[in-house]
Amino acid sequence: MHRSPVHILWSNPGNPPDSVARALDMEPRHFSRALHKIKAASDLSGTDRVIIYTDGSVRDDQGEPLGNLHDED
Amino acid sequence: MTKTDAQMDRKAFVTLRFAGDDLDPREISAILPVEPTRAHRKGEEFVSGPHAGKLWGRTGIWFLATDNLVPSDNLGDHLAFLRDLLYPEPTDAGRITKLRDILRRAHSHVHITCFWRGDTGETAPRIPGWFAAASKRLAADIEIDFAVQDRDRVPETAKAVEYGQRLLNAAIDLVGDAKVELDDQWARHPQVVALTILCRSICNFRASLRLAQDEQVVEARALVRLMYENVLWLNMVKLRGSQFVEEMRQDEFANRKALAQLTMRLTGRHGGDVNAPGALKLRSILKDLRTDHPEAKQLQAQAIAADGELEMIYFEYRRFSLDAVHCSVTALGRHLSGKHSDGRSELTLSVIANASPEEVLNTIMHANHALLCAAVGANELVRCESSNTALSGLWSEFEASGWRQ
Repeated sequence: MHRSPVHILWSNPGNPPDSVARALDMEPRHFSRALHKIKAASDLSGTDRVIIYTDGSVRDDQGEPLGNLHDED
Repeated sequence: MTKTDAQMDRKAFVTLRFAGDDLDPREISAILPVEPTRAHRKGEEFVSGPHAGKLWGRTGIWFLATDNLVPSDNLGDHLAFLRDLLYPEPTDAGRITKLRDILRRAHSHVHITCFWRGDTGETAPRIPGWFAAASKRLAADIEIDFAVQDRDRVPETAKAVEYGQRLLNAAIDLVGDAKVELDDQWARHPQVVALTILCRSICNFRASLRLAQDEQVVEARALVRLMYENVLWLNMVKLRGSQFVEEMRQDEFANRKALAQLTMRLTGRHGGDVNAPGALKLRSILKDLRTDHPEAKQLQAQAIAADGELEMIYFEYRRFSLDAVHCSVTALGRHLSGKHSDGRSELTLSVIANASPEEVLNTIMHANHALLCAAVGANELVRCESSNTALSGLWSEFEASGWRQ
């Protein structure tokens, strides 16, 4: 097991709790909105599993990049 | 609040997307007079944003989000915008016909999602019948993402999670940097045993942190209880070294013996053939265990805690056992809540155990505490210089934060 400068904050289906938003220094509602848009724009449903990293990047469960939460206004 | 703030805090919006591997989004744009939020063909490169940079289209997409187009927090206004886009006049289904033709040719599908985040006490909106009917003609499914923004209200939780991530890094670094001079004790070397207990704690911690963040507090606390047990064992490895490692082995033999005896007893009770090859082999193993390890004895957490002067850790171990590990009245009570008003009583049964945001924080703090104790304890044995500074800093930070239980 190696440490990495970027860590996984969340890797489950559904909506992450607010602590994930705060760990990214984002308002929970803004975070939820950004994640909803990234998933929808990637043709994923809300129940699909995604992985969220400490740099705000979001990947699908195969590790394919979907976007970055900090890019969503 | 500025306009930008209002947009960023938008409570409601909807999205419309057409997707399919054969979809050419230009065909959709030729019908719908609006700039899509994102559009690309499958395999096409596009810029997702300054942070994400360039990405490749997983599939063909024409995607529209209304949050920056409709200046309203009322979901109905966003749905009306979409309806007007699809039906320029109430009786004009021309765009729908053309879109369905494209979807059929491109083997694609269409989805609508509705997003709403209310404040505590607000009632979620309903999807009006007129909109459901309009989307049905397009063969679009509607996905609802409604929630009240009241979860995880303790800001300290984010701080505790962030601390936990750094602590996890430090613990992993310790395992990676530790140098153990192996001797004839091999895997029974107390330093190796201490590091394996730390590895177990790291894995328990990662899972408990994720579960706590997912509000699976009982399951997270069950793992914290394992971590406190790890701390008790690790402390004894530190204090008694090889002697305690031998006691751990004897505990293993005692448990194996008890399991084998139980298997034999159940085989006989349920009419199994006690002379079958498998049963004979088991009897032979049992005989060897009795001969080779006549003094095998199970370890007891309470005695270990008393010997190691870690009775407060044992207290937490017992508390988390009652609270989460065992099928106790306390654990079962988490699924029940009662209400008494106007002479009426109501008992509610919840599938997901009830847990407050404060308890999420408390669980993460305990997980941090247990991993910190395990990492510091292991480092006292392996004496990894490079980990000393990091762990000392994390210990001071933990105490200064007021998280000490």
